[in-house]
Amino acid sequence: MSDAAERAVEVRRILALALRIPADKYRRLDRETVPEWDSLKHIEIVFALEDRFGVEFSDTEIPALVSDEAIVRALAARHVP
Amino acid sequence: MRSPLAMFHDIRAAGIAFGLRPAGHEDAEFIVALRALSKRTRFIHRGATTVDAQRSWTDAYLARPGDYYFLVHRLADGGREGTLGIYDVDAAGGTAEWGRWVLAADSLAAIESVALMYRVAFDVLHLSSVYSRTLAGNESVVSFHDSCGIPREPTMRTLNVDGVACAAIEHRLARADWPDLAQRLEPMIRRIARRAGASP
Repeated sequence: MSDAAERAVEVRRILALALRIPADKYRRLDRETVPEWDSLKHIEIVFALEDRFGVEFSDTEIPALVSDEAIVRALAARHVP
Repeated sequence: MRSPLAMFHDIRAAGIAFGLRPAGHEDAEFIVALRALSKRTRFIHRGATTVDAQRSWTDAYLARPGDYYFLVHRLADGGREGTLGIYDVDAAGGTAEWGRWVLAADSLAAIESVALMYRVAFDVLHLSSVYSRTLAGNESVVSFHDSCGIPREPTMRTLNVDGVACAAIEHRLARADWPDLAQRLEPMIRRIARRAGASP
């Protein structure tokens, strides 16, 4: 599995854990369509990602982390392995 | 000690990155624009849709006892982030509803604004409990209250929203449970505040 694929799997694992849902409950994890993704859990997700990947998102980046795909892109932009 | 029935519209609360201040006529344009842009306003009363109508609503609000409407703002520069309110204060029962919670889409003020609201409700107004009624279809806000650990009332409520009867879920926090919630939210508030330009 490539680094990018592994990162995507890990992001989905972190999201499922924070949202307290089975990892396969939704095909795509998107804040617009996942009702469990509320404002409190959004912050929990951000902090879990930061702790796991050793990054710190800015105040302008945090609101944009609205889906598994957006998060994977944001991590890739930071060259997270 | 402030009487919950008093018509004080001078309550302010400052957190780490964000604060609450009384909403006034000068905020009418912001409030109308905020509600027009928010995806969540389909779940609350339509409210005023013009600046003049919002100013008229504010006139009526300022004359109404037991109603506190706040602007959520950044402490660093005063920038407006959203609104929330505590209203229908029942002085005898020591309860009130909170709501009118609308934040800008990119706001990081959700957690701290709610914590400040509870601080006002319990420490300033000396209420014994505060409840919110959220339309069942507003799933992410229902989830927010659940995530905070605020108990749901067992019976569904019916709310009249612009003439339409809608099922709603009531969450109620008792004063005795506020310290535990405050303690749980505080680390998140402090960590968010660093990004919002504050020095926690």
